[in-house]
Amino acid sequence: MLLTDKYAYVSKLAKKDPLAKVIFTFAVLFLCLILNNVFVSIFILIFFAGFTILSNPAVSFFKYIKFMLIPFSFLIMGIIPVLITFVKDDSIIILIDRFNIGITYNSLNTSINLFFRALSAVSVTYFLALSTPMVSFFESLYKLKLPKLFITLMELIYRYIFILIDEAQAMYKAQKLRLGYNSFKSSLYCVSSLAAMLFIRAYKRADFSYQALLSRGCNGDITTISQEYEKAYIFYVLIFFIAGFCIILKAVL
Amino acid sequence: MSESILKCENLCFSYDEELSLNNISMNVKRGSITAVLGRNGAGKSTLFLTLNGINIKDKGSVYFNDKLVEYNKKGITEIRKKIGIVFQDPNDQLFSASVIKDVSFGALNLGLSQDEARKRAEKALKEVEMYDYMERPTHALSFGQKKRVAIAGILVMEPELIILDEPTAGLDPMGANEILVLLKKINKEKGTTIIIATHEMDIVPLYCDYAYVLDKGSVVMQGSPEEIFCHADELRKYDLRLPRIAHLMEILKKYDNMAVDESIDTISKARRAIKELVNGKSN
Repeated sequence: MLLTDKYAYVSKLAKKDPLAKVIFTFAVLFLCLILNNVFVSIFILIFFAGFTILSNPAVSFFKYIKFMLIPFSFLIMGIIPVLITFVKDDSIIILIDRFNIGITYNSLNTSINLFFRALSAVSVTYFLALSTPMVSFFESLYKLKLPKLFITLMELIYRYIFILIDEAQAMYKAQKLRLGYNSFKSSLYCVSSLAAMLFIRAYKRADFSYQALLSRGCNGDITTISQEYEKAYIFYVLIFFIAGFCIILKAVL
Repeated sequence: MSESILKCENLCFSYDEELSLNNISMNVKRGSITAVLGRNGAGKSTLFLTLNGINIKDKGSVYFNDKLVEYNKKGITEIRKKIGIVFQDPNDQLFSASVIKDVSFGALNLGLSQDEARKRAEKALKEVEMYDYMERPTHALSFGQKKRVAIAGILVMEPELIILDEPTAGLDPMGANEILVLLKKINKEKGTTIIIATHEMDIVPLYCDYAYVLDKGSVVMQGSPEEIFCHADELRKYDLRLPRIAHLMEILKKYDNMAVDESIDTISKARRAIKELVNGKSN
């Protein structure tokens, strides 16, 4: 998330209306999940991979593959149990003869379907993540009339994640410098003390930050100005095109 | 309007049994830059938080513009509009991931409209020379840039008095100098009164008109920088030191029996004095 956010700022679509992008993303995501068709999934995967790479000058083809590899390992792990099942008579390969465990035509089909569905869903979410900075994303949530407290919390958490990471890194370095983590036992000890210190620091910092908010006239509500974005009706039009294409694809194939 | 902008009398505050602020009396002049000196834990930050109504005082009275500040809900809101505090660590203060949003926060709390708040935020960012960074994410800024944004976040509220807790801490010499020049500019152009808490003694004679020394929650010394730096031994008692130049003058006078004025505390004054001394001898 931290990494994708950096790329999101340089995207050509970064200044476009985030609400349109969010609605677009979720509409396509929904479509991809309910249609449940391999060809639709592959089409969406290719379309969004292309869209993301073309719209973001910082994301090259190889970088995109790298991003895709992150969920890939989880995906493989998830697919193996679906792929390998108890075989009755329609087996392709039997792996363990005694227990009748192997791959069936049916399980192969399901797992391929699942694989592409998951991957296409990831590519759709990557599109949003790589074109919309978190700040803009929060703004679209405000427009969606979600509970204000909820979004404010998200915003604050997002901001303070960076500080938490900075502090954790500094502490980790300090521990390493004093020969921490050089054995299994010391690693356990170091991790535990790092976690404990982080809690204490977070607590103290929260106190300071609250004081700072108060002294700037905060009265319980955090309001900031909303940014101006370029209108992007094209995304709404795109939803219909993609939906139409996908439904035809499903009907034909 | 009268000369005094902020006056407190016998201000007391304690976190627990021990008094953190013990009978503090101060009088800050309008349009001045005042230094509050003192070792770590002397009560500087506590004093500021108490003035701003974040710590609720136990005793004493605070006057802002000669009007007694009532520490009820309305009074506290009012005083927070007039006194802005810039915290030592900008990371504590900047809560938004977007620079312009963070700066606009204070303005919106004053009840301004979105447009007005945006205009003010842009103006404040221009004043601290961070206008070009408006759209940047906060976490991508350097420490010095964060400090500037934090100052802009206070400037946007257009307070009459700005309190800065250690404005130069953690900055490189150039960055520290730029912040001080910026503060001087704000002080001069807008007439904003400024209070600086610091241990950086060298900046006191250069930028400050008046100074208070705090120790263990009480005011132990006060006066113009020259007056305070004349009492080197007393200062050292409170774990503070003279500005380097003043220290040099003290040594020259004490050990080398040179006829220099001990109140010299800046490079320009020292230069003049040394020139006079050299020229005087050659004559």
